[in-house]
Amino acid sequence: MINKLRETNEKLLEDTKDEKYVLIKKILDDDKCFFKMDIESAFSILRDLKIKEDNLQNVYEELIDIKNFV
Amino acid sequence: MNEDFYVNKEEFDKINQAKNIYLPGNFISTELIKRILEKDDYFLYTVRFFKDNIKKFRILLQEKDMKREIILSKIEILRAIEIYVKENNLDRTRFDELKNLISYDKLKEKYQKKKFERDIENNHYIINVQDFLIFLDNPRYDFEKRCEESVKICNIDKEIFAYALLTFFNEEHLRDNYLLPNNIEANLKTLEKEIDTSFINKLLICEDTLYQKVELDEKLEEVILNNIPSDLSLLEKSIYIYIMLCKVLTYDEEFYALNEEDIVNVKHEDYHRVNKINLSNNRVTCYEFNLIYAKFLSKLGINFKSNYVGYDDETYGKGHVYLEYRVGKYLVHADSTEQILHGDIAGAKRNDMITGIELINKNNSLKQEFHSALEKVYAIIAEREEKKMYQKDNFDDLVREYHEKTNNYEQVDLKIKLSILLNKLNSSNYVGVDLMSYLLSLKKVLFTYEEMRYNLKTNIVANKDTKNDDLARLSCIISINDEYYLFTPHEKTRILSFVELKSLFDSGMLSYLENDTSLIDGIKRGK
Repeated sequence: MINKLRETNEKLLEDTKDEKYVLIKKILDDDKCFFKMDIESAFSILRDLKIKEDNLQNVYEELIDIKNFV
Repeated sequence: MNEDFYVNKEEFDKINQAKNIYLPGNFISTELIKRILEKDDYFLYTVRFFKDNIKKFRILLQEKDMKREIILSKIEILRAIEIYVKENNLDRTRFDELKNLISYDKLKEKYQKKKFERDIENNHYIINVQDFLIFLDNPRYDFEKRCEESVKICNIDKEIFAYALLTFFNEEHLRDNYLLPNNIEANLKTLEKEIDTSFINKLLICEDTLYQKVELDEKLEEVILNNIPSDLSLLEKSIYIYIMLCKVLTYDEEFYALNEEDIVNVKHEDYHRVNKINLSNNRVTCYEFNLIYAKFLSKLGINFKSNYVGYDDETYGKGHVYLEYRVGKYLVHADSTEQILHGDIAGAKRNDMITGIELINKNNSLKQEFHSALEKVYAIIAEREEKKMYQKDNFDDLVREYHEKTNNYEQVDLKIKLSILLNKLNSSNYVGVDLMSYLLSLKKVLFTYEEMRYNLKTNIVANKDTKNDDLARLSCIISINDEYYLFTPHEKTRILSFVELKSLFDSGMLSYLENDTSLIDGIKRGK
């Protein structure tokens, strides 16, 4: 899942050249990033990556699953 | 001849109640110094001490069963006299006489033909004291260089030489009994700082014996040692095995839940239980982890000592256990369960930094070497895992920077957070201490400080409603505003009223863990 987000971010960075995608890229570089930032920041990043609002919780739960914890 | 200087109560009180001269680590009565300078009996007694005719300078008041005393070293007396003479502008004759008696020349005169003899690191050494003094007399720059760069001093390994020299100085109390020149004092300090001797004569043999009575499960041993790089140093191998054991074993949930109560401790007091620890039966207490690690260390030929090894006994299964071991110059302390949820047994599975294995030596170079070894082994193990290793970095700064660039940052409703928490706990295959450790990590990212303070509380509790032979397991109570959720791994989460929850505590079905200080409002700790 996180790899998909990285790909999406890469495309958005290419298209928009927006600095926030540079920062998101650095954040996502850490495999454990979703265990290190608060949920509000995580949701914000997912919105920036065009994840639909009603899908945010599902995607987030996938990202903080215990298989990603270890 | 009497070695003590007796005084009556009036004299002692006068000395004791006088103004003091302050020296680092002590204060000396001005009245005593005045008497030494003015009264012949006091001065002659001091001279006897300075000439080593008596071993100790002791002013003694003995009254029936009561004894009061003043004991001073030569340097303390001399420094106090120096200050007193200067402040009061007095004649220096007696001061100079005492000073000459403990000059560095006097030290050399007394010791230069003597030898220091000792067993060090299983070898017998006889070293001329003259060699110590000549070495210490090196100019500062040369001395520092020799300490840092030499392998040998006077044809002896420098650590052994330094140990012998410092032992000699300490046993003869030379720093208390002689006026050392500034360069000698400075060189001694450099020696202590630059050459680590803390490992000398330590753990020359393995002091434990219990490890000889247990055997490791073959599969467990294979998994731990499989793929261990052959070019690792012995120190690195010891660290590697420690980390791998933390990854493979887990802390015994029942033991933790019941806070090591006697009834559950009984089975862990039998060290034979270690023989049955394997990849599927992998729950351990600190005793068992320690014994298993000790067994691995013995296979590497490393000497160690567990903290339960006394002078004439080896009482296993009582109190917290860890061990210390030695590899060459490195003295290492290993404790995988110094904390349960945040210790290495839980943390290694998250690839958190290892904190329970640390160097005992204080020397900075050795610390850096040890740290490099730990990082190297850590990186080797983490490289094999799918996930990148934990990074200590400016992550928080990155996230803060990101906040400034986005318009999508919004508060997330508490109900959604709770839903996520319960979903994740319910869908996990982990149990016991490892799952509770995951819960704590989720709490940190899901809830704000204010929410955790005012709205939410989590209590990990002992739950005696078990489905197997265990006497208890871990559950978690999540209190959010006035709602209570009882989460137990592999069971449906129950939503309870306060009355229902309280009755579970009152009946003893649930109980707080010993170290839990934040209790649920209205539910006290049971007796």
